[in-house]
Amino acid sequence: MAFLQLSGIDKSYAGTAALSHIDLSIHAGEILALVGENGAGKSTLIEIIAGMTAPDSGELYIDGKQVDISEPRSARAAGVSVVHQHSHLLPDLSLAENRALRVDYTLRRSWMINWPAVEDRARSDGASLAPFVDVKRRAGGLNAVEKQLVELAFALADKPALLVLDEPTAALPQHEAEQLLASVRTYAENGGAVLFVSHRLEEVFSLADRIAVLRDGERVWLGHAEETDRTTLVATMVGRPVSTAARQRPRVQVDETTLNVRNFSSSDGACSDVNIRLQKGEIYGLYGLVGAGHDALCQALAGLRPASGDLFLRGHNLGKQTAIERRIKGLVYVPGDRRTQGIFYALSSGENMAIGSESVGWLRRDREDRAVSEAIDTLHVRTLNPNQPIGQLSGGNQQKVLLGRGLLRDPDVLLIEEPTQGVDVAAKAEIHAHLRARANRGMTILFASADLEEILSLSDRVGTMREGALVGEWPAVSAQREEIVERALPRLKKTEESISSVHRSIPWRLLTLCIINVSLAAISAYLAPDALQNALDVLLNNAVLLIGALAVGCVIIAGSIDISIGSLLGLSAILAGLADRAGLSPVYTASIALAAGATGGWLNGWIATRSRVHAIVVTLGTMAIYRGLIIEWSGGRWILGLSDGLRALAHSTPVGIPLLLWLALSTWLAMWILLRYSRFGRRMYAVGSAPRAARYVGITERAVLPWAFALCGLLIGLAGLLQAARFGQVQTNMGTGFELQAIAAAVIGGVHIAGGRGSAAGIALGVLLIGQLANALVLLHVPAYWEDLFLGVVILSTLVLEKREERR
Amino acid sequence: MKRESGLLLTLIILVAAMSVLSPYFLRTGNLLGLTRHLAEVGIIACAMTCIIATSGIDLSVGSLLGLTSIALGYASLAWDPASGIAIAFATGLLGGLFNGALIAHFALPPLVVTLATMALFRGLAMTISQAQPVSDFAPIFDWIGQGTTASIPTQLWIWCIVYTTSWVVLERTGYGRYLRAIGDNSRAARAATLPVKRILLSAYAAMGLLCALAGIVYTARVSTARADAGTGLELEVITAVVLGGTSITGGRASLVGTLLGVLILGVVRNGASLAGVPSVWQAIIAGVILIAAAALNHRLTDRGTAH
Amino acid sequence: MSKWIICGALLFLCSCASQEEQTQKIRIGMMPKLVGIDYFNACEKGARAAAAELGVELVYDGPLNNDVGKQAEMLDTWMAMGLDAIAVAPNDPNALSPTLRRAMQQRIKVLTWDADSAGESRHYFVNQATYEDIGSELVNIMAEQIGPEGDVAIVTGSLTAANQNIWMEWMNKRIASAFPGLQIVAVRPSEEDQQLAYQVSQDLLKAHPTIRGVWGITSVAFPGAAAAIRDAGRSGEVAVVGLATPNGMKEYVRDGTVETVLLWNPVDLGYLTVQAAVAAVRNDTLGASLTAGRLGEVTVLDDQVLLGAPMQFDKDNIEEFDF
Repeated sequence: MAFLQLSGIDKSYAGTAALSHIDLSIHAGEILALVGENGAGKSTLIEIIAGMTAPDSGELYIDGKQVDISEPRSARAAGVSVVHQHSHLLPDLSLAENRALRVDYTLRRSWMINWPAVEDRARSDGASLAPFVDVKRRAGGLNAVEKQLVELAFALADKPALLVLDEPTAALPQHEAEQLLASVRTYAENGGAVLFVSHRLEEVFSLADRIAVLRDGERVWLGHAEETDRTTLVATMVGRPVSTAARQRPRVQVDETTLNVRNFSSSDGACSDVNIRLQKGEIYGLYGLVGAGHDALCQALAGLRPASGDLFLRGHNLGKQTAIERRIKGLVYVPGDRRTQGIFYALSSGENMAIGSESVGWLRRDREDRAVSEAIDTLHVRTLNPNQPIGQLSGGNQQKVLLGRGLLRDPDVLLIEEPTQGVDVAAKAEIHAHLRARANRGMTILFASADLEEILSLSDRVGTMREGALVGEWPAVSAQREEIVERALPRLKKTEESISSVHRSIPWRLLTLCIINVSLAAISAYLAPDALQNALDVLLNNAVLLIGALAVGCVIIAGSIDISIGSLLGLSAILAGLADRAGLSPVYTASIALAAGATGGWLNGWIATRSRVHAIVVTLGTMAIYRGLIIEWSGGRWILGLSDGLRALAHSTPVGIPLLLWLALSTWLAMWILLRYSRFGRRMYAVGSAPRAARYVGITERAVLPWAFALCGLLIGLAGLLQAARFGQVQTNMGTGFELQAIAAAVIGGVHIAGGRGSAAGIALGVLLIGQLANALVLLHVPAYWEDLFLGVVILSTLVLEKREERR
Repeated sequence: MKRESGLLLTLIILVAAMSVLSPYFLRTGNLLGLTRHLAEVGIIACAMTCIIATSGIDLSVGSLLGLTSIALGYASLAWDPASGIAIAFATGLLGGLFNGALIAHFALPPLVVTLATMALFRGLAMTISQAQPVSDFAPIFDWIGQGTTASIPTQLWIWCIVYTTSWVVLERTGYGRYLRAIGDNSRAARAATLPVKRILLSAYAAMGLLCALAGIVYTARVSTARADAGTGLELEVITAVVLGGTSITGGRASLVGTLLGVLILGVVRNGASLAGVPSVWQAIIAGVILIAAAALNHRLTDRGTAH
Repeated sequence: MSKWIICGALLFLCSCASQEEQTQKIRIGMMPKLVGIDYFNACEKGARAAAAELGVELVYDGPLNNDVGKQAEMLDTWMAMGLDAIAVAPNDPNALSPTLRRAMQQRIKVLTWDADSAGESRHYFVNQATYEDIGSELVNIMAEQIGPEGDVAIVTGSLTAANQNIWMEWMNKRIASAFPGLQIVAVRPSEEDQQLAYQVSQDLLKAHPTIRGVWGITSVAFPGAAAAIRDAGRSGEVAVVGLATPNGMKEYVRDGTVETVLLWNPVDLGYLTVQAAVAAVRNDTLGASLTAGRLGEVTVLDDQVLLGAPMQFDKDNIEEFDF
């Protein structure tokens, strides 16, 4: 019986069928390859199996039972592990934690995360393919190869019944690709089922037992690998016969050097001491495994990476010029990763092509339209018209648009990284043909690719790079593929060295904050008449700010922001005040304030996630609404003379220290534990770090954010309650400007405004710094209006310092 | 365009409703008075639209307005109105360049940078002026802030010029396209060798200049230079821009929408005031409108780009 | 969805505006510096009482924070409504002058109250107490409590607030002429923020350990300063004197931190303002005195309507007042 069976799967987007009536089954111990052109529906099918997308109709059966896989978590529970083409590791979390998010944390006392155990587990799980990696490292610090290997190792460690691989070798160099394929084969031999998507047909034939072909959302062929051959398969994929054999072209021999690269090295060492000389009309293919520096060389030549050395374009040295100047001189670069570095999704196809060719000034629409339509025709871009949003085009057509952008700039030398990565066979052939035609008309082309077939079929000359150096050069006609690959292979020992030489960074920021805080404390102690009392006062005055900064810190860590907290603070204080005046006991009053805060916060989060409006906008709105409600509900009157019971919340002094301080400190401790040791806390980091990747491990913004906001609101409710208790009265303007102070404290304390990073310890130090600064200024008799000025300077210097630390 | 027509319809319905509710609403005096007070928000909103298009934000505009107001006040008292205006523009430009340099060259997040400069500029304005307001301005300021040109308030003309220029820049020049491209995908913009740093720097510098212009208009309108001028202005401006449909995550910008956003907020405030709705409720209504419009906006654009 | 929003907004506006449209009644607009604080709430109470007594329509509204630009905008709106008189408490002495002058040109009676506007931009100023009276009285009370010598400090509202600055000026003059031994060592703003007022007062005590007295000259600064001094355990040792509404000060007067609270009666101020405005509309000008309902005869000095001397609230009488 088949392990996974799909029957009658339909899925359409905006009226266009992406999949129609797909039937497919995969058996245990079998490798099924899924092939098809870009836009054939492969990705959609994988998303459905992975639980990322729900089909419009049709059924999924696992082990004969119908299942409803509506989220990634249930897919994994059913025994399906998916490795996607692009890394889905959460960049701000350690590898160990990335592993834990997939398999669940190892807990201590049933709720507290046991970090050493989590790390041990990740180490043993990663050992199969990525034994070299330090599991405490941030995933974001890994390169593409390491990421892919780690993901695959983790997926294999899941021991899934079905392993789904989407273009697993696209980012990998030959050596690593082979290593990976070997382990997939072993896995299938041991009884696992594999669904495998690839554009590299050699891999498909060497690996697959059966092959399924998708075309325009339909399954057009399914059979054993032996029943077909390469040509037939390609013909089935594209619906017409296409020759994919390597073609040589007669080259117009012009002995005129266009580009001369001498002793060229990038500052980061990704490529070093490279010498290349290109003739006019020549196509030069740079081959290398990922990380070999062939792509880095393209970027460095284009001026996008700092580099040294000489770069002569028709005799002029461009080595010292900026990327823009080089482009104007005729050296044009086409980026490799179109999704992240190529396409502007907010612009139309036409604009995407024309961008960079126009002047900064007046747009000449008619001239531009003519050029764009011409390019669309010559490149065979399949688009309705130039105004069509680029997101609606298939990958191959997007790649053509990118190429068109480069060509419109009328280059003498074209630098292309991975000209056909993730592009279907037909589009690939068209792109190659076009590049050859351009070269025949005198354009010089230097391209980098990890696809050896492409290198051999497109170039006149082939160069191989390894560890940043150019290690071999052949004319394409006489190049031996074995020799090229052999040269490109890294010397194993060296690779291990370069990977294991990672050191753990010292937390400079926390140290700096500590030092500044200690010096401020010393200054104040020296100046204040009663140092101890002064220190206590500083703590008391900033206790509420600490709670507020922790509150907003949570939301920022979760990748969002809340600027309504000042109003919410006032609102919960007003409600607490009203309740107290109505004669309710402090316990009820406190519950009302906390409930009001939590509700208000949750509402912010709920609106933001449901409407998918940016949280700044939502909380900007609720900020006005909550402030309005304060005045409406209080009738604009201050609430005075709160009861002694309520005041005791702030003023009673158990063990000689005011309760306010106790409460603030225990809140801090609770938040420290929550952020570091609880699953909810870690989920906030996960969502803040990379929301899309978090979805793949079953953590959605929808599930986390409203609660992060509610937690923030709860703390703000507490802050409002304590503020009211402390002063024994509530004024209607309470909390105005509080949000800025709290955000400033969190940011100074190292909470990353983009989410995913920050700690309770840092926040406490940030609050302390702000409080001590204000205190010290007063003690130094500095006029009051300097305070804002100093606060601004402190925030800015923290930011600049942090940036320098990151670059180091 | 779909969204803009929705906003226009909203505006028309609001105007109709207001004129039913209050007989005074449609009087030219009222309408012109209304625009007089919208000019500062309107001017800054033009630049804010461009900044938000780059996926940036500028929270320091209110403070910078206060700082330029003080610079204008002191300089025109010490010398003459012309140098006062020149120094106000220079101050605005410097402030904008400072923001821009930190954001473009140090690649720092705009939200935090301008949060810091918001405190910094306000602190500077307070320190320079010792928190004392300056008044007694030359008659030229009365003409800008109180007077009319061709029977239309002078600052309305200024706003029109700024708006038209911004529209041309955003919609009809390569610069405008670069702004949107940077906001949409800054890595791609760098890889396409667009002058990203210079564009960002100049956008924030332009914002500084327009803050100075708005500062001059504000100072002329209240004929006093105050360090606390423009407090809370940033929120009003951002509300108008977002209401107009410019996406806070960058890449999409609509100046037509911004204009309608400014007008809608102004009409709601003015009409509600005329109809006797207390200002507390006006704030609440503005908040609700903002969230509802942004949610609606999101639905419309979502439908357009589904793939 | 947008239709629903619009419908909702319309319904709301309709319900708010239903009590409009009464002709022939005198219509007065009265604008505080800001809404939502106790002091101006008390003023509103008096104003409403006067409006009810006189049978006039009162529009009472102001900005949400002390923003002079917003005041100008609201005034323009009010002018369009064709009110008979406008009474405004300007946040800046100069900023509203042009707008108010335009209102005067439209034959609207313009009054200022609580704070004045410069440059012949109003017909009358309802003066709660002269700046000189307040300034001198504050100094006198302080000297009464701590003697003619010692270090003192001021916690003010905002450094840009005109009336507070003028009070401080008069305080300095009084000190120079009568009590040269009093030394003002610091002036710190509290920005109408309770927490800040508390904090700066506390810091003042530390920065200047020799301090003997603190003035809190707004309704926010005064209780903040009092709380700080009480919590520092220095009640009775450091005198706190100032201007504030009695409600906020009752607890400090009760526990002895504060002996005397100085203030005019804001309810009366609101009451008198409406009385004066109506009289100005009815009679075009005011004579040398004005009969102002329950306040009786009130002096009009040139173009100022005087409320009378400020009141002192202490242990014996503070419980009688509720504002």
